[in-house]
Amino acid sequence: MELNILLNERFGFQDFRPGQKEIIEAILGGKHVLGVLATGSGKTLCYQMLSQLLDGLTIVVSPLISLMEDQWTRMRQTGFKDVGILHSALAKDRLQKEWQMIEQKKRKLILLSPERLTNPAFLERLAQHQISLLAIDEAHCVSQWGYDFRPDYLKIKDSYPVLRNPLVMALTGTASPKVQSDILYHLGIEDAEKIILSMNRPNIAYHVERVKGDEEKRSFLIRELPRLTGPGIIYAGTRRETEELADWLSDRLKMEIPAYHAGLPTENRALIQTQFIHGQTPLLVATTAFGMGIDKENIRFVIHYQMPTSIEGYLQETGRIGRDGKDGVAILLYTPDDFAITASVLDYSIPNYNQIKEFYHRLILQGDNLSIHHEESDHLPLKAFLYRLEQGDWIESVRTSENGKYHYILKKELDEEDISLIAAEWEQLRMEKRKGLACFNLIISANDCLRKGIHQYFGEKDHGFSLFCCTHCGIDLRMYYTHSRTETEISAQPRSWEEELELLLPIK
Amino acid sequence: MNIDSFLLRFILHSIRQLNGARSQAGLANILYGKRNHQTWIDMHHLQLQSSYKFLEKEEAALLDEALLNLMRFKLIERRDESIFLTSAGISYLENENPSAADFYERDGRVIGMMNRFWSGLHLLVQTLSNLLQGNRKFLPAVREERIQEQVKRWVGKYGIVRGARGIKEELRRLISQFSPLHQELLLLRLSGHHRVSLTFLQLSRRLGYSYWRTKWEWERALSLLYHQMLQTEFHYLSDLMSSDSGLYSASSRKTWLLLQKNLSVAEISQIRGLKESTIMDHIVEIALMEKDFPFSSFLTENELREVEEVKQKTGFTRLREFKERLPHLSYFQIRLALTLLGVGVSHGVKHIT
Repeated sequence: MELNILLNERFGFQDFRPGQKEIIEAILGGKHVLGVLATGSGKTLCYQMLSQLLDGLTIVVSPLISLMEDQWTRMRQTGFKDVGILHSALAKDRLQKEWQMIEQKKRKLILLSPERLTNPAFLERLAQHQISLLAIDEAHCVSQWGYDFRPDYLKIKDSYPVLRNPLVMALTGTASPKVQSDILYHLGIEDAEKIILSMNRPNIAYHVERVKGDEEKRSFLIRELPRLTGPGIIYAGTRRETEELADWLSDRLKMEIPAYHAGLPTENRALIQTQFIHGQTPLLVATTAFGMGIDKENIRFVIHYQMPTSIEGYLQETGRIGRDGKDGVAILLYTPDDFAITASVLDYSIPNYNQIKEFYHRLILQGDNLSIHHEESDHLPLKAFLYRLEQGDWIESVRTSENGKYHYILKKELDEEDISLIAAEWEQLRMEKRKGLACFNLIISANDCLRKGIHQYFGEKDHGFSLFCCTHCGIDLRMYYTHSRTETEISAQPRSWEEELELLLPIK
Repeated sequence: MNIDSFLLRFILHSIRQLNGARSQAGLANILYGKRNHQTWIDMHHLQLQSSYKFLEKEEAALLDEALLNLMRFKLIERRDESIFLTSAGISYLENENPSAADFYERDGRVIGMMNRFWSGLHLLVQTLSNLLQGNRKFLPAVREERIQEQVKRWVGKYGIVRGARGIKEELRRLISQFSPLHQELLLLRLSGHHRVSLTFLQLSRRLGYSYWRTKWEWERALSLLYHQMLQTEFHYLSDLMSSDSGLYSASSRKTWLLLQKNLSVAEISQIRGLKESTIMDHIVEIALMEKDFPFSSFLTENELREVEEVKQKTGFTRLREFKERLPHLSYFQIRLALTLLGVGVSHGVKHIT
């Protein structure tokens, strides 16, 4: 079928967005693909359409269970009933049902968490079906140089032979040239066709507000939040800061501003997410845990209360603005001290010599009982350490059980030299990341176009023209002010319970 | 989430119930509602139903912080591994509102079951509310597929208009009997075509109560709704109840089915491919809940009486202490006996308290 007709009839769109058709055609032409498409430019459509065109199954590897669940719900709501989901947190009966659907050929696309691909029994079962395409979403997670490294991504390529070498499509929204070559190498697709689009989003203006300290940051928020057109997200550095800031702003602005972070109970997270998508709460204070896969087109501003740890992260978070193509503004509250604070956050995420020793002692003490949950991202340094040991054949390949835990067995002991070697590798990584951060700091504090600086970092020469570009080129925040609230906030006036019931179920 | 004075008092209440019988880890298991056999049994032996599963697993750091606060205020003290209330702790617990007696109302064992019922009701009201407005697509407030299937079946059975009328009428009848606070809590925890349910933090701000007090009041409101619904004929609502009793694990239920066929522990272990000790764990769990539990095949009445005597004379709470006094009994038999005594079986006469 002609691709444009399929696009129109099955997906309801008139035209492809830039890059989509090229990616689809390359896969149909039998090539592996690396696609770098700016956040919000329709990566999902690529694998969703391919799943309809290819004979066998399309497997989509996705880093977060919540993200996968959201995608699954959304695809099913838009009429795609042949989408399945397989992750470690799935209830047993649902898992059985999914397998049944696959066996009855009622599935074309399956969303998968990466650690599933490391389970031999799972792979064997999957391999009984024809796998036409392995799509790897958020492929930058494979790179230690990236801002969101997930060691499980490094093992994806080990699954290719069992799955009879399907075509591989690696997709990401933000990847510097270094990360791009890392993706190609670690996913074993060096011969892939590269479809790299500019990461420039002309409808987003970049503003840096230079302040003296926390107090001025807060004054800025109190002054500007009531004026800025929402909905908007305020990104804070830590979970605690998120909660404190949300409380403080709610009190001062006399409106309900929830906090969102990965440490909240699941139900709370789901409710806040839904309230935000519905426009019931037009403002959120969040950690970076909020956003990936959030399908909200009309976000008008993002404010960074703290400097992000990387340019990639910054671009990913601000990329949530204006997916509807309308204008929006990214505001960074910046004090020169922030660089040091952010650098220490960065340091914490990479294991140092002492941590390596401590992890190793834990491993020795607990023997093969050492197990960790996949979803515990807090243990990222530990996971990176274990992956490194596995790679160096110090620990035996992991026995993955159904409950989402890894078990490790020590094969040979590490000596002082080994530990120093691993520490040195990570020291190099730390230096690289520090370099990236210093570069970001330079772009922010230099007296030059912010957009140009950011895009040069990604190796893009031409960053196009934007009418409202950045602080340096001249923007006026008043452009982004509003005089009326368009989003529906929950009534501040309490209603009686009978009135509430009547509103919920308006029937006589 | 922050610690407030309500949470501190709730934890004090739990420590008083525990009375030094378990370490901090045991207390944590109760408060976070850990689903293992030891915790379940502890809960019954030590009458900790009211504390079970009050905290969410994501709130794991809270207990440490709360205990530090309680120590600093000298409301609790540590002796060896155990924690006890000081006299200041007792008076703080007794002389504030809500009264310490109110804490006992809570039954953590049924929280899971009530939450499942609420999830069904929540999604049903959201679905009907949207369908009445002609919205066929909306973001479901409850993502669990099992609940979604249940709601689909319900709507299929009663239809939109009849179903919405029925559920609205039953909710009105039930909720009208509650206090204004509970009425507001129940309504604001529902979602509809025009809004999504509020979180506990949002509710606490709106109602002017602390976070933990709000959560506790919410559980009271839900418990009232649930139990009143069971007592009287509420046709539409009770059809949302899950067939899963939720009182013990699915695995224990399978063991119970085999036990009823008079199979021995060894036979069940072989059939199910599980260790005998696991089957014994199941048996103790079942003994807590099943009125017709045939304990005599595991424990003679004499043996039961022996355990009861030791318990009365010494006030022991640790299994090891019983085992030292009664070396001829196995740990399994002691646990079973204590369980049966805990739920009110005495001298072969069964009375559920």
